[in-house]
Amino acid sequence: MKKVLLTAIFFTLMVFVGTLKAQIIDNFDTDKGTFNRGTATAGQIAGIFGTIPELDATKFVSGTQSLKVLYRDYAAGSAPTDNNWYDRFLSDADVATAKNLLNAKTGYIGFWLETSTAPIGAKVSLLLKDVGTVSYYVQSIKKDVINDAGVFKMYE
Amino acid sequence: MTDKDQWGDRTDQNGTIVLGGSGGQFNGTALHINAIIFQAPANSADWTLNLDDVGRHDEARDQNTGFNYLVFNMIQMYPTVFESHVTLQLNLEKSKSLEIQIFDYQGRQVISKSIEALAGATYHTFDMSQMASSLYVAKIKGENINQSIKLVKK
Repeated sequence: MKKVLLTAIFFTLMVFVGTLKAQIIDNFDTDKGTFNRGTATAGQIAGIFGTIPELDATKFVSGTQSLKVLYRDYAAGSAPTDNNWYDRFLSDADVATAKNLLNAKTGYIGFWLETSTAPIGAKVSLLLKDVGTVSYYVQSIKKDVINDAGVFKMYE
Repeated sequence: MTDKDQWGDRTDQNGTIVLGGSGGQFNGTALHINAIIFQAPANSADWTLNLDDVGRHDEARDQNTGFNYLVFNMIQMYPTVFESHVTLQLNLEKSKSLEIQIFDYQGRQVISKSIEALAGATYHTFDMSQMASSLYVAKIKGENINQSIKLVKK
């Protein structure tokens, strides 16, 4: 009886994977999810002060909240040599396997972003980790950030 | 770290990532977003942004507008803590038929209404004055829309 039961559960799981649709890894409705780290966590933060993200119940795409992140430039004179700063706003999903996205044949990865204060030239991209036989990272195309207060836009 | 400055090898003509598939670069059983990378010129003014719903979004993808910067259909209900009435605020890119259902905390449907919502900003008020003080969940469904909102009646 136990063997039959386990087979049935496995089959159910496989069916679910094959019909995978939208899959949200963080919606920030109840907590900061995997993006709960300060902006200073990553190594590449030359040029900015580290700040701590907060939940924001006044702005959201779906559900009840979003994650508000503040970026603050260093004081004049401490700009990095390439005259730009960039920050890897890290997820801690490396150790949270439940947050891994199961691989499907088609689909798009992205996020909703809203801002009205992005500086001219601000860009955003995704860093993806492929957890396969050989794990590696790929970085997405860098897209210009659009200032449009009150309107979330999808970057995917 | 491989910084290809693009969506890896497996891209469609727009540069949008396509997960898996035969011949695709992604050979693993799982992907995850390791980081969102923000970049700006030095000496930028303070910059605040809001993030929401990080993950796969194929259901939200709009073929009419392409992959780039999809404008979201704003859907809100307020006040979320109310005494008698709640208002559904919509700001849609195009007209849609919507089904609005409100359930109590036991899952019983207390309101069901179909509306033809016009493009742009519209408001729809629901009278819940006869409902008991409790937790409710409103579900709004339509083309490319499937949203739940928690409501509390004082």
